[in-house]
Amino acid sequence: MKGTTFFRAAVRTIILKVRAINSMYSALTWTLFFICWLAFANTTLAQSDEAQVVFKAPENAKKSKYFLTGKVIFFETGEPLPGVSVHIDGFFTGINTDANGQYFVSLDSGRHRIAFRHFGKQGKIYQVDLYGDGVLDTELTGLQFELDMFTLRSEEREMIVKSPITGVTKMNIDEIKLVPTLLGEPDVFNVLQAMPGVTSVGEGSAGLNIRGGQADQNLILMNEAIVLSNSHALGFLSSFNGDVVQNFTLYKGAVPSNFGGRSASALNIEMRKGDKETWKGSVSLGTGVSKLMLEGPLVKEKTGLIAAARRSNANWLLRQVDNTDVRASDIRFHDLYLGVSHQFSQKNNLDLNILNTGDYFKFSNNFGFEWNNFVSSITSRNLITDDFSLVGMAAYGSFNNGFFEPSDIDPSIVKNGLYYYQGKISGLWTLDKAVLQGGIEGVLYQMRPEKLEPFTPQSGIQPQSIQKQKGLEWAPFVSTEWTPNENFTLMAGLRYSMYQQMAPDTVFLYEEGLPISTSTQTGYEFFENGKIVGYKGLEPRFSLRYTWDKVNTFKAGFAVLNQYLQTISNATGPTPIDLWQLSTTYILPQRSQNYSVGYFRSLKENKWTASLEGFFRTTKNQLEYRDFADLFLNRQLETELIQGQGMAFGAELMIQKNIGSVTGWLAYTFSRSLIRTVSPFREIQVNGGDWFPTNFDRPHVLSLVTSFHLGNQRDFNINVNYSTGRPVTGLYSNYVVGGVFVPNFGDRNQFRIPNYFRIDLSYLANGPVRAWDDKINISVYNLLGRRNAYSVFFQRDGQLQRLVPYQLAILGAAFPSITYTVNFSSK
Amino acid sequence: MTNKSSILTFLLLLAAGVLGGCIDRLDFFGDTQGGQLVIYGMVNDTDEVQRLEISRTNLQGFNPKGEDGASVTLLTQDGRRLRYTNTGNGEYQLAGFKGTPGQSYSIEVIIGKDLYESTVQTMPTILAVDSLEFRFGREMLSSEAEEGVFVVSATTNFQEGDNSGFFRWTAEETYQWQRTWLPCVGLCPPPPNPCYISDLMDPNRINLFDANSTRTRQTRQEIAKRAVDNSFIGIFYVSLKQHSITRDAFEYWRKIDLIVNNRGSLFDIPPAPVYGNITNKNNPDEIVLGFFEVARVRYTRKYVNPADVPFFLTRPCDIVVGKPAEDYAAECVQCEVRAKGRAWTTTAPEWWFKD
Repeated sequence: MKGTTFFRAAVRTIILKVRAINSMYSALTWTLFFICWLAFANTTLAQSDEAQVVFKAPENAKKSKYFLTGKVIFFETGEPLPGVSVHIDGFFTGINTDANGQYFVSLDSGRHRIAFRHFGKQGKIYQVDLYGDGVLDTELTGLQFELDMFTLRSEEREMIVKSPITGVTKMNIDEIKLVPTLLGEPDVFNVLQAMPGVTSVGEGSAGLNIRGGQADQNLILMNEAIVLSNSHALGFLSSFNGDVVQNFTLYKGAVPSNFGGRSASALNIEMRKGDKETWKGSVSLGTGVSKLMLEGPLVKEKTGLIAAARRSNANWLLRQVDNTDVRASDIRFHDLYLGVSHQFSQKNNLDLNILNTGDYFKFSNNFGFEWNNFVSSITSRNLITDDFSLVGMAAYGSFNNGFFEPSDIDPSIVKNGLYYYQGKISGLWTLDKAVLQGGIEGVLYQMRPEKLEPFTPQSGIQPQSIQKQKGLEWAPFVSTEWTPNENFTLMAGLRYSMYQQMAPDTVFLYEEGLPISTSTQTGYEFFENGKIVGYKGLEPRFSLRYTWDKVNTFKAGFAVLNQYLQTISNATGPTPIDLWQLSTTYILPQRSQNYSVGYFRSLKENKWTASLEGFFRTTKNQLEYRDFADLFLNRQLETELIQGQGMAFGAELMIQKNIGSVTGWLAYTFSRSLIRTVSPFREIQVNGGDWFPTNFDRPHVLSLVTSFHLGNQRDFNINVNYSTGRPVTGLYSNYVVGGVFVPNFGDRNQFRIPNYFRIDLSYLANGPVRAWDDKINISVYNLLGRRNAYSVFFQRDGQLQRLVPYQLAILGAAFPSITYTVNFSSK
Repeated sequence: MTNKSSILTFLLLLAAGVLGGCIDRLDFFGDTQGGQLVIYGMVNDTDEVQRLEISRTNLQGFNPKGEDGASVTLLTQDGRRLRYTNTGNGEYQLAGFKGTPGQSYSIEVIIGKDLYESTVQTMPTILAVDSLEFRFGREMLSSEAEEGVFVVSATTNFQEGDNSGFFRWTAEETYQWQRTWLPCVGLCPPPPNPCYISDLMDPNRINLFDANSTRTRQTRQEIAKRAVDNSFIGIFYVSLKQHSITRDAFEYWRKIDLIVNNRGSLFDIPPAPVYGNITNKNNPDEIVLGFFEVARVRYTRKYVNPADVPFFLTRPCDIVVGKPAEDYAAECVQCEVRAKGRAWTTTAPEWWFKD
């Protein structure tokens, strides 16, 4: 009762605060208010039962230290559980179970309290009398009580702190669901944007910018298989249905050596495995999206299946808009996911994952886009011995897109895409104080011919087809994680990436001493077979952790990353239909060097954690575009591009409250992302070759995510987001040619749009039907209805003889949504 | 139950808020720069006076200022140098000359000690055949409310063959404005001539067509649109002007189109300065805006009879018995006031409708 009164008072306070917000000062006041609130909120801890285990050695083999090893599996699925933290006598050892759920610790002889903890699972505690080497296998079950879940969030945080890698963000779907999002859909990308170091160009743009990297510099993986197209509805939602997402791990800069191919970060999204015991599922109906999910045993205790479908139903909203163009527009998307997991034995598993996504967007009868994506992978996990495992993965992916203009004189569509085969095999060897990993990964990319075709039978457009490139990238990798004692961990890895562009393709030749352009072309050479050009590079990766006083941790990391596949886009921001382009003779691979340091501190027995991380990053051969670059159906893309140097640096502060009836985090990032073009020819340099901010350079980003756990499975969540406006190219003056008022733009990205501020709310609760297992999610995105600028453009103001700036807001009002979900089960 | 109903009502009201517009005017931000030279001129194959404009950009997005006192010369393929005359406000004219298809031209401009030259442009030989149509309708044009609009369209037939040319169309309006002439007794002045007021229609709509990249040999496209107002109470002429232009000019106008119609959407190409084909020979680093183009031009004209206008139009200058002369609006008497900066004359163009 007391808590309810406090909550009501708090809501009243929020409303008063919201009304007062009209400046950054007010926003900060509001933020501080929440920090105080978090600080004084109640906390609740969970309890676990203890089991007793005794290991004894023969009398003649007594030692002062013994080994304890074993395997942790998830009770519901029988699958091994990686990342389970092993606590000895109340302290986290820094040891987690490996990819096969195995752990290995060396302990003094005697009685120990061993705890196995994992986010979202019921922890298990054993009292172990260790007087001999022992094998302790255990099973963890899923949490039934939400307060336990929030308690264990602290363990997850602690695990991240104890990991030697800097800049890691890991989150489970249960946490993702608590962050209010557009359309009420739990969404990985939306949540990531509330984390430090992660931004985007703006609402409605595909892709994330992580620590100053471009969207195409992020390696996006689904169960380690590459996913090239990963957003719906022009970027408002990610392609990953929250019903089938297990968790995600984001590596910002210090990427382990088993990941490669992109120069900024790696994001691996783990998908859920189907239940091997019981058939169950859920149906959701929302204002923007409807979903169906089904899972269960194909063969009891052996083979589990999970399938999910999601479809947009937002067109009815468009029909209500009082604008003929919007009413005549059409937006549709869907995604389908199928996962099959088969367990041959405790030591051998096989997983199949298939993801298909499709999007269609048409603006009035003016233009439109369609794109679809297919990713499939099959993964075999085999425990060869108790301390050595092998994982093999084969994947196929395909991505197609089209851009059409249905009402032009000659209605046309431009189509392009690519497909790829990916293979990866890695071995993991777990020793007493070290874990060794090694393997090899290869990807064969084949870009599809780019085609211009008539969109209607009446169109007179001349069909065209441009052949595109093929490339093979492969890389052996090794790494070791050495933990000599619980205070120190060193991770060292090396990846040697190699790439070759393969025939057939035409390489155009240009006059030396002049900028590459169609006017300086001197000829061409056609390659029918073999290799056209090759690149390679060593990619060292280092990370270390040092912990002192049990609560303070220092980390540092360094990584070199090469990238041979990038997107080509001349739009304001990344779009879902950007062209993917392999490195060629003229488009050189990107190479980044990433440095990071971090200080982490646990407070009040992990109720709070805080971190301060710094990063510095340089990139060679980052792509930039010449003014008015013409990228479609261009056989000589190199004539429209210019490569340069990228530089990003910044600091990220994060304060999290992990336990209690109020949880959440405050994240502040100061960062800069700059680029300069490098060319001996001034005429093609952008801004004269000076450093200038990238499209997504936002020096100050602040986000506050707060969840109020009201009990009885009710959560009230608030997300506050503030950031500096992104750079745009502004107007120096205007002039008139032939009666047309023409804006005269200045140097690229020298001005900034107004700052961004947004508040979202969501309320999650049980549904109204008592007999059902139903849930309701009510959310309001952009509660204040603030018209946050996406971009600025210039036009004549009525009859005035001057051009004036206007701002375009993508979402100019509050955007409410309701999703109703019913869960069902055969049990 | 009451609480649930309240929440639903609240959310529905919020949903209504979604339907609001998303474009807002901003205060000017950032520094502006002025003083950049702009040269725009065209030589065509008609008998009209050839024109060239020189101006310098202004601060805060204001209109550029005309630059007088320059020496402007047209250089022809056969070595002639033809001097333009400065008529004020940065306008230069060359009378008695018309371009020849297939011939090459360039311009030379001297301002102070600086010499500016354009690239050599060759006048295309191809012309297409237009027919002009118009219609009246009701659409949302300047606001979210429907209003009467006048839409000009063109059907064009292109020459067969691979080298079918590059085209740009503009539409010009010329309407007759009858000035008020109060009856008088005795020795009265003659009734004043009507005003003929001309302007580009829908100037920021840039109508381009590359006939080389398509098999289509007949197109129909909307050229211009304007609101219906009392300009239609007299004879209203539409002149469709077809420019057969060079590839360079086509590329230049394509870029102008991109930045003029940039509305800040995700898919807009990022804006950038558009450079033309004129350079300062004394200082190659100086950026000169504008373009010198040569074009074959063909006019197609059609007039609108006031009786064909399907809307009620106010007639502010009609004589009202007993109304004092000073109570009539200034535009009823002075063409300059009515024209509001547009071109005007009191002499009917030679192609004007004759009874």
